Amino acid sequence: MTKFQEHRGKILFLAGLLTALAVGWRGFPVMLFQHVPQPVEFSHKIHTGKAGAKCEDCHSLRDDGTFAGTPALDKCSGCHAQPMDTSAEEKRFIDRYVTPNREIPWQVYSRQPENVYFSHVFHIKLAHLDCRQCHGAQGESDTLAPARVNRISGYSGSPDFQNMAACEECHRQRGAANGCLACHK
Amino acid sequence: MGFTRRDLLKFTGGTAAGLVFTPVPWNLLRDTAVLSENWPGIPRPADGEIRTRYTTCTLCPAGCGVRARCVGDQPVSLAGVTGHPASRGVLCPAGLVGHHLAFCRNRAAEPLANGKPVEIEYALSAVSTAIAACGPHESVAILDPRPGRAASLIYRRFLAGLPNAVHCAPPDAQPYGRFSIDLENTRAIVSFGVPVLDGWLSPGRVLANRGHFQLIQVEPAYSRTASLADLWVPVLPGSEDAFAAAVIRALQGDTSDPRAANVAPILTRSKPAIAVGAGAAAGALNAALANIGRPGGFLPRRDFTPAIDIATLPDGSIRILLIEEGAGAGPIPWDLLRRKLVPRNSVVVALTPWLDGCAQHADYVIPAPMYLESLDEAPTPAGSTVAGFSLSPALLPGPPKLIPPAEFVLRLAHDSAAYPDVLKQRVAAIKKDGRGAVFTFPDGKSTRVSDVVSTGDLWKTMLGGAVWLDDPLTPSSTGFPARPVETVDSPAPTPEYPLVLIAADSTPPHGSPLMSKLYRESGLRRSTNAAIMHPDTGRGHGLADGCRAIVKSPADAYTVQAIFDPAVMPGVIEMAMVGQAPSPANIRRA
Repeated sequence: MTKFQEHRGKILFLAGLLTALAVGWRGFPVMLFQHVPQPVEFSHKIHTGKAGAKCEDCHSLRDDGTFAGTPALDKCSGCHAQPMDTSAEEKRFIDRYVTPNREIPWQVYSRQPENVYFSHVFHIKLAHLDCRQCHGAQGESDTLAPARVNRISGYSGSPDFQNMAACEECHRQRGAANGCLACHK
Repeated sequence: MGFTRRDLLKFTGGTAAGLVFTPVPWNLLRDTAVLSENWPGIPRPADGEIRTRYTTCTLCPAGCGVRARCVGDQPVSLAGVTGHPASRGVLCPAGLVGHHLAFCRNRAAEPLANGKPVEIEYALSAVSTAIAACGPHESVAILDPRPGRAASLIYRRFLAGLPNAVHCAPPDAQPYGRFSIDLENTRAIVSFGVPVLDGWLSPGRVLANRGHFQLIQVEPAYSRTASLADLWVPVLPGSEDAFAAAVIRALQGDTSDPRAANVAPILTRSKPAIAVGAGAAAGALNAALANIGRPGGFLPRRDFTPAIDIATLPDGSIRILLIEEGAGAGPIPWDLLRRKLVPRNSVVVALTPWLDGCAQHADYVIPAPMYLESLDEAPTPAGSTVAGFSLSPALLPGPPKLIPPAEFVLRLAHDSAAYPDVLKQRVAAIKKDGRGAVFTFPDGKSTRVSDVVSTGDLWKTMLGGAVWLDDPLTPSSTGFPARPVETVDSPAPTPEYPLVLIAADSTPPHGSPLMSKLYRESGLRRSTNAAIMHPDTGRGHGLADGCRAIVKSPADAYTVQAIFDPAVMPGVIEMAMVGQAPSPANIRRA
């Protein structure tokens, strides 16, 4: 009997183990998420650089304290009613959305589940958090990454999606309320 | 050699072992659980305009202010009102989730006659006919859980037109009579079994004042309040009067009772002090502490409508009994009510939001609106030193066949007035008297009633979320003379019945032992046939934890499940019996 035949069982077991590890660590994360491209190739860098916009110019708090979120079309068409430069992407944007007055179906990276209550105004005005602390260097990006959407739960898997553990950790560090009712009304 | 079945099994085994060390099983568990949150049929708040609305909680007599975040017609979260003079911005666990009650499966949604759905006109006609057929010695009674409201006035007006009628209240509806508790100036409380830190008066008011009174909790079990009190004094049930007498003697220098000797110095250095609790013990101690009508004690209040305690009515005297259930009152003791009914042909009408409770025993069930479903009144908060009034506007649409109890009685009386009209009259009376101030919830400001321009403005202000509080009466510097208090003979244990059986609250606070973080372990195992006792008591009578046993008192015998709990003092057995007095008992294994 050869050495292989002698240890056949153990070798096959090990092969299964290694296959599972490879699939589990490499293959599964790729398969779990679908990558949904953004409908417009938008450059934060150009808008904050050349155009001189700040985060709150488009992502603002309304007078009643609610957060406007991703800007609606009228914010964009305020400047882009006509092409401002010669890029094909801008022309495509105007043809597809501005001219027919059609809202842009942005993919939201950081949308929380329905059972979570999150208030931007508390975190900006009371906790004095900077946008970058949760959303990273989004404002300096030249393109928008595709949104990673969990195929099973439907929730975001994008890097700046704050999961519950991240929220709890930050609350713990800052001594903020960490009870269930703080976020789950 | 080919790939055999054994090879496949070994490979699969390795795969399974390897998967445990990858994110796969944990992510699948988490994501499928999250997926189930979004299945059809899982209720979710609607998207829509978010508004803040204000109301007053009517789930208990505390009368806490409520700030509701609403999406369209749906309240999605409730919170307290900052600066509310009674509730101090606090809502208890039940108040925080009160907007869920409307979705309770056990709610009454349509009128029932002997369990069958009927139209409301049929129920009205049947009850009217029964009332008209009452004999000369048979009475019609309305059991009003919170006398003194505008609804109570409707009941009394209706009953005044009947020859033999009585407006009555449950036994514990008016525990302090015309007196209120000056908690803000009290420095010590001796509580004979009252859950001072667990739902007494307005929880926010008690919490706000907790830092400046000593709490001595006198009761046989280590309750939630006892666990947070400054001193727990376990006494055998039935010996409270003797303990109060010992404390009075200790205050005069006789320290022969060591437990009383512990309590007396606290009362001496923390003045003024009060005693609370049912029975003669608290009354005797209050007389000795001379706190009636004095700051820090029991202060008289302007508004007080005395109601007849139903327990004092003769047995077998009520032919028609209308029971208003809910309105912030506790459970109604059915056994007591049944004794008051005539032996035959009695008619019980339950005006209730629920199908359990009194509805189980009623001939007619009239579905009342659940909390937040219709405009209602929140009268003077429990224990408040001044009269109060607020409205509890509706935040939710209710099912179409609901009828508020007061409206039902108005229709029985063929009165064309509507319940909101009667509430407006109450507001008009407040404006006419011109006393007191209105605290408005949205802006946290207080305005004298005399500065409100008109009754219409006052009504609109109350509807928008406000509470009116009267001006206080000036406390007397000499107090009120204390009436002599009768002591009641308490049943003492005997060799045949060496233990004391007491009634424990059969329902944990707010319906679930998990609604408080201070639950006793036995509270999780409680059932209607549970007998809770100290382990030494159980083992001393040959029992094991969880075994079947028989508890016998002179009047009755019960088959129970024995549950050991060291929070109950030795010699005592707690059972779920609402409203029954302590009695001697014994226990043996079944």
